[in-house]
Amino acid sequence: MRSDPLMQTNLQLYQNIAPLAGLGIWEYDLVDGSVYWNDITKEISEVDDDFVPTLENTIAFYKQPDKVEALIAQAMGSGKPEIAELESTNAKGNLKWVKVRMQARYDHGKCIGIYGTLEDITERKLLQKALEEREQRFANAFDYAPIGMALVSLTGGWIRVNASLCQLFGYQEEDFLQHTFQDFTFPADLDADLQLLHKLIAGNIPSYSMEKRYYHADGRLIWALLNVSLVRNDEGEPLYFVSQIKDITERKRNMEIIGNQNDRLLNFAHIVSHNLRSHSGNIRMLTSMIQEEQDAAEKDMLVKLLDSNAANLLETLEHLNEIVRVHTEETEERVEIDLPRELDRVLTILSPSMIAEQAQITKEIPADVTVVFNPAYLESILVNLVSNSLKYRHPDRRPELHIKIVMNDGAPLLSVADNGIGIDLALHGHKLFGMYKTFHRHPDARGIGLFLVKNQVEAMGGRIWAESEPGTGTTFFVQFNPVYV
Amino acid sequence: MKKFDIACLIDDDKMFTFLVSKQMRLIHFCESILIFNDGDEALRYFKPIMNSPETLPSVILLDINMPVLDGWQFLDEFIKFDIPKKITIYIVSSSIDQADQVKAASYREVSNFYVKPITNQDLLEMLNEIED
Repeated sequence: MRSDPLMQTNLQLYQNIAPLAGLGIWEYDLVDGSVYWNDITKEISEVDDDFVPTLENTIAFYKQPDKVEALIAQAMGSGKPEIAELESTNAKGNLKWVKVRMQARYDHGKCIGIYGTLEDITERKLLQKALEEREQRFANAFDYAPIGMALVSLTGGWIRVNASLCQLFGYQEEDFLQHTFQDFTFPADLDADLQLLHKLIAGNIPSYSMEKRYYHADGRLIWALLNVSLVRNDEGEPLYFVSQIKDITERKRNMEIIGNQNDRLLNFAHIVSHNLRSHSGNIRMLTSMIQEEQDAAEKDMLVKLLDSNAANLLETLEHLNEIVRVHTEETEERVEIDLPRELDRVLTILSPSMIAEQAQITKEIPADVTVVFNPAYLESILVNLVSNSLKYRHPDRRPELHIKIVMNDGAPLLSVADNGIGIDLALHGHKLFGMYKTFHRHPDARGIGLFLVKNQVEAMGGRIWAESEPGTGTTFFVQFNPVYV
Repeated sequence: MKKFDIACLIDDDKMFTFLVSKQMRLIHFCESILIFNDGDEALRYFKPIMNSPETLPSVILLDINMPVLDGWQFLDEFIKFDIPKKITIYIVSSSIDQADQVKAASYREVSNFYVKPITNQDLLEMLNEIED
């Protein structure tokens, strides 16, 4: 070893700095087998001052001695610095993670020793392990959550999805990763979602939840409760969204059913009270007039009126009963029906009156359209719509009917258009489907057909509406129920 | 006893109009009675005679639920006229829907709302309200 002044200074410097950096220093002399440890190395190992290190007792501190031996062999072979992070149990039995660096020294090509450093990294290692454990726990919670969960990029791309979400949407994970949540969102619900999302990025809200619809892989719509929060880095910059998506299709459907039922019940209560009241009001007036009437012939006439009024009351009761039946039998019979075939059947039934009116019918109907419906209702709906077109034909021209079926949101939309006298919807639109509402002074207008039809359509979860131009014609639309699960 | 000159019934229930007009005659409610079965019929009749007060009714009993033009639609059209006569309008309906009563109250032109049946007592009450 040279002993020039510069070398002396460097040695002093290194002896001062090593403890300052918490750096353990050691050397193994292969020539005489001695081992040197500096104070820091001894501190890390927590050995007594009189401890004499050897290669054997050094290696014995490590949990995996073979790993240490392999590292030494590698250093001796390569001549380059070798680094490893190792777990050890020191003299006091404390667990220590250490970072070991070593390099071999040679003399005329022969390895004469190994020197290196030792660094206590226990604190960092434990922190890292805790972090890994937390991430693992999150991953487990994410992967095995009973509700759909996803990590979503700031632009909407799916980054990671769990098994529940795959099952909910009917897609594989790969399918998700190539798309954005926007791709799967029902268009009408997208705007509301994006608005909340921007508020979330802007930091105006900490998280948001909303009910929205998504497309399932098979094309049907699913209702979901969406919860979104945003993960930011330490600088507060947004990184990605964590979304929870819960299937609420069933609940939504039930609420819709209950809501419709309540509306119908209220409507029905009004109909009952109104229609029964008009008859009973007349009967009340008649009976008091009969009591007061002196003239026998006049009295006789009033009794006859009373009789016909009683008959009207019974007829109204029968109509009301018919309506009640629509809503109590709704679940009993619901079968898959080939819509074009049923339409043809109804047109055949109605062909005598169509021939009599010289009506022309054109159809625009795709093959293979099925609906799940009560067969009697479907017949009633088709018969009513077609025969209405004939009943309210324009006196100056031959009736022309155009019947069309298109698919709308995965469910058939039927339209029956005519060139009849039309209805002023601005005036009558709100009561078009009301009970005992008539709009023309037609002798056969009873105001029950469309009311029944509406009830039948709605009992099956569908919707009916009309467009019309007085003097030009009317088009009725029946939107069948989108098929849920 | 005061009486109306011309009374008008607008109601599609023919039984009702027959019975009420009979009662009206019995209690000398008015000199003559006009009967229409919907709002449109009544409007068509009134339109050309709007400027001759002596041919217009001084009281109208108006039903709500009617075909073609219902009671509300008739009212909306009728109140657009510049009417040269005091015409009292009563809604007479089978409706016990609160919404209809509220709606009736929103028309300045509607004096009262009667739920069917109409009794002699109701008709006498209308007579009593005739202003001198």
